[in-house]
Amino acid sequence: MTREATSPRRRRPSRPGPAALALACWLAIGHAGALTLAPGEPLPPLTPGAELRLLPGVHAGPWTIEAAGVQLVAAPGAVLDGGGRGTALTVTAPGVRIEGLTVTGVGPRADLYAPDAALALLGADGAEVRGLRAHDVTAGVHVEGAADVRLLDLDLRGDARGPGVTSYLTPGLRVEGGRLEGFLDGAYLERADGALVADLEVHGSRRYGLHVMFTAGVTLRDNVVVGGGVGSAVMYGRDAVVTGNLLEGHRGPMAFGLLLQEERDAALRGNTARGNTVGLLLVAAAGARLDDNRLEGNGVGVLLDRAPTGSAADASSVAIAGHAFVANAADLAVADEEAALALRGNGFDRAPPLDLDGDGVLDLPYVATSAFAARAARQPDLMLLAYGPGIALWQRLEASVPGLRAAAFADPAPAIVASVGRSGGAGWAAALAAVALALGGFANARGRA
Amino acid sequence: MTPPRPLSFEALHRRELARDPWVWLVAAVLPLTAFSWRSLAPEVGVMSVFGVAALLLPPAVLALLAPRLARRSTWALWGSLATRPAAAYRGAVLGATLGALLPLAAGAAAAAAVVGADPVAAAALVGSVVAVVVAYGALAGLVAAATLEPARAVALGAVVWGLGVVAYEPALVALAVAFADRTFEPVLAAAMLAHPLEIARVALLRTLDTPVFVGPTGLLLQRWWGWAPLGPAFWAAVTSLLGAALLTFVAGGVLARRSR
Repeated sequence: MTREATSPRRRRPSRPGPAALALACWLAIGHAGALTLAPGEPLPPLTPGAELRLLPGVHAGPWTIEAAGVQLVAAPGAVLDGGGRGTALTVTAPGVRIEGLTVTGVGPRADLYAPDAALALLGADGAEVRGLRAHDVTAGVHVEGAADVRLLDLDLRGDARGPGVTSYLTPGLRVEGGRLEGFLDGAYLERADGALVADLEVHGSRRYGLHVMFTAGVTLRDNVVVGGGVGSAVMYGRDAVVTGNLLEGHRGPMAFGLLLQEERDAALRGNTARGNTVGLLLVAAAGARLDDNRLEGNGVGVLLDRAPTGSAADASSVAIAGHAFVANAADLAVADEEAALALRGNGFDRAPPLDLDGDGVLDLPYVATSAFAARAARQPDLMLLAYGPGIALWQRLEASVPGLRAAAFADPAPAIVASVGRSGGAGWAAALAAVALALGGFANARGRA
Repeated sequence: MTPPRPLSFEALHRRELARDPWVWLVAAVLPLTAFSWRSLAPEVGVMSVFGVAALLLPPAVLALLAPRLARRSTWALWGSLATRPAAAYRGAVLGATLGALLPLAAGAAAAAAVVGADPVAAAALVGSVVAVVVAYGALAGLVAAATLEPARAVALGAVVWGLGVVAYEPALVALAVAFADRTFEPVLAAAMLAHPLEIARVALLRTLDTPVFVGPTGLLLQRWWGWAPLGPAFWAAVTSLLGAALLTFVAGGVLARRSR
């Protein structure tokens, strides 16, 4: 059963041009049995398994597809105009496949759970959406109560009021490839057990880039999340796997590359957090395992904090191994007295590079935490004092005199981190010039004497 | 043939400091220590160089300038001059500061090259070092005028250095802890803006786009300074120059009062 929602702003039917007619002929010859729809034609009744091809041009929506297994294939240049009311295309049947569709004219409602979106998949188990394009929309895709949905190669740009992808109760959801730009949340997943978000680019989210809640076994893989207002977050779930992501440029009092909050047994591997206020923020993350991540140029590389109402049982227990801590104002801060932290084989750019036996493991343990970093984590304004001479002296004293440490976590076997400085000859030339200047000064003074 | 015009006190002190080998040695320390951070990211190297400069230069400037300005033979001269002692002394402070400035700025530039800073970061580092030297040069003038004795002047300068450089930031952290549940932002903002070394350091952090401007005070400074690459360094230099001018003016007045 298919119905067409009426729009008061229905466009006048436009006459198809020669190119569209030629395309229609090709579609008719190459896909006998498929329905073709020219701009201006109403959505016909669709039977289960029907194949619908949209010709180039603007098609007046909004539409609803209620037949199972429908395939909707849009030719290049085919646009569905939602008319500025509600969601442009709603699918309520399982097994629907949508390919190459461009959507405009989405309604203004920006509710995180039920927004006016380019596409809504409600109970549409097994739906597959490929190459959906929607710019300047309130929200991109709304998925609810649907298992094993696949969203591939999305190209969505929002007006910062609604989410790019919002999903609720969507086990097995897969969001792969594409770009989400300028939404409130890039992708919001709630109760999406076993979901996968991979190879996705998320830019300029007003709030979270990737936002996962109450989900078991989510995988975030090889995504690029850049320049959001807050960062990405995985909260109140278990067994998350976060690998190979780039989390960059999240600045602000509450900003971070990735937040794990009350997430049990998460595994983070091979991610890069660069230029964030906090690279990785772990709040009451029990059983977290962090391997081979790179923390570069952050205010704080890794911060362990506790939930405001958390008990000792909720404290983080984290193992951090094989990381590279480079150019962070503070590498590691622990603001949770109950936290259990194990460090092993991490590279710190500020660790003294003493490796007499040449085995790649530094000969001295490295204390990666400081009381200042922990305090600054609680009072972000204090980060202004980072790199200050008094603070540097304090941290040096703290690292050298165990009695001065409130709580310190040391890596017993730190690794050598690759040099990131410049290795040209200008430095040597400058140093020689400085020595020459000093000697010249002495010679000058002696000569005059 | 007209006799050569006698050198002003400004020129005399400027030349004396510029020819002092110890000034050049202090300047050479900056690029030499910078080798310790050559393997780090350039922005961390720049901040580390500034950290050393902030620890080293204030006592060095005080030790180099204050004894000269507080020499008995010199301050006896101030009182015998036909010109006003205050004006002559201010000229001497200015000259001594300028004499130390050139070598130290050159040392900072060489240190920036050692750590691989880009031109903007290097310029900001040099500007920050200039701000520190100018501020502590003026402070040396003030403590010298207040004591008129080299040993006491250096000792007083060391106390000022200990309080203003070594203890200042830990004290701010301690205050922040003590007033954790109250509004601390105005105190911190005032503490940042009132201290020449702090404003130079924070301006340098801003120029390097370090992600530490995350609290209300940081955001306020960020908005105030704008986004121009050298804008913060410019404001730091202006603030330091104004502060130094004020200190020098006061120093001249103190000396004039003492030499009556």
